Amino acid sequence: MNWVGKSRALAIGPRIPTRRADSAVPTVTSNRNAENFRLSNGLKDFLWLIGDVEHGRLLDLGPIWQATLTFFVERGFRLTTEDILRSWKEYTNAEEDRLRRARAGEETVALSPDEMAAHFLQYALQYPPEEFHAVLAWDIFDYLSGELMKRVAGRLYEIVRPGGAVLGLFHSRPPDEFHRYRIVDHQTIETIPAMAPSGHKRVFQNREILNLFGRFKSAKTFVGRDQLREGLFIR
Amino acid sequence: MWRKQSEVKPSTSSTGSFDSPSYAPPAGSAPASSSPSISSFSGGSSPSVDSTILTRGIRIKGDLAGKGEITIDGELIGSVHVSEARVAVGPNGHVKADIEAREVVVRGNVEGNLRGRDRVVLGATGSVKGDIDAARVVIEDGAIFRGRVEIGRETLQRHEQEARKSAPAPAAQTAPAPKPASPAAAPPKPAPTPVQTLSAPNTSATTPSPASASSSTSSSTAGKEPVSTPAGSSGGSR
Repeated sequence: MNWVGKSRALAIGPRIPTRRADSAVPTVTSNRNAENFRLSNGLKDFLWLIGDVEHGRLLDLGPIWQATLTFFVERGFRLTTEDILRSWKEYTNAEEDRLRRARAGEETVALSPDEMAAHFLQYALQYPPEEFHAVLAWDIFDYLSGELMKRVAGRLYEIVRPGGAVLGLFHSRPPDEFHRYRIVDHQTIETIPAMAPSGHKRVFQNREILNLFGRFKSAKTFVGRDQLREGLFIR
Repeated sequence: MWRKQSEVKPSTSSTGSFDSPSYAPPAGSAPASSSPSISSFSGGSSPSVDSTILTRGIRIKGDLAGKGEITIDGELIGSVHVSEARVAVGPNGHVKADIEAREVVVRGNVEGNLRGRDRVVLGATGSVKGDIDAARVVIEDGAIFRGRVEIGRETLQRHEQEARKSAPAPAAQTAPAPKPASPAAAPPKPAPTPVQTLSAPNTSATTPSPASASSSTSSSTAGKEPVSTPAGSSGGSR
């Protein structure tokens, strides 16, 4: 995945996906309108960076979608999916259950936020070092607790190969509703309203984003008209 | 504890313990006297010859193997191997097992690896924690999945094996070949994997209109030296 000296025109030219009749492009139904689709220069660059990888491995930190799966499988990638927000929600619910079920008088220690984050990551994001060529992180960092957010960013650094890329999204203002994301084509992302696993936690300043991914070699951010910032981080 | 309804010996063999502690047939089901916990039958509308159904409320620990179709709407812990048939996990099914079949359809809960020689279908109510390895994978919206998906690996291996078998002896060439031709050394590039979708017909006319055009800024957080990838990093092998 060495893109140094890579000619963008040559790299992108033949790789622009064409819509095949049998491809699993998400269908636009009545409840989906054009506002659900957004051009993504971050995705475009992300795909360009990993375009030369053969038999690549990609980690999607959102829910699984046929469209996203098909998109990457057709490009020879092996896709791993781990819906980290959902897992975190399940973990916190289980933790609350544990405390609630504790009998009166029984010594039950509530974990601190930092301990919870550490404990959660003993089960989540468990992959060998440098396992993935690319990670789709979407906007999870806006929704994770502060302690977990830093640990997840650190874990991503460990499981991404040198030269690998992470694509993240960051809201410029608290979003009206929670969205899931799936890939439509090489530069279009569909945003799908969904039930939020947790509330929106923060709006990052640009400097905070760069600090969060400080271990990565380089970072590039894109700002769309909808004020959703896209961050591309290269390990 | 349970009885077989059919006289036909089921093609699916199972080993392990069967437990049906408090099974109550769902309303609308067959009368209790003829309601099988595990039923086997031949024929019917299904194209498969034999079929086995583990109904809701049944709990099995053990391994299932055979040639007939299996529908699991109960609870199973162990493994399932029916390489020539279909395995379906119903909405009430809870399976902690690796499943290997021609086709695997999951509409319930599965913890284990799924291997479908033909395809794996993850329904909208399905939840899988494990890896999927199949020629084709179908994911319905709403499905929950945590794991790795590998598509077409077996297909690729089959093609490689066929190529090995049918590979002709190295022909005389004007330019000397560096090594004897070995199909393994030059495997065919995998064809684009067909992935079937259950979504509605593609409405390609409804081209998404871009909601945003973006500008970019870039910065380097750790030096500006060229980023290089270690040798072999693009191989994808674990």
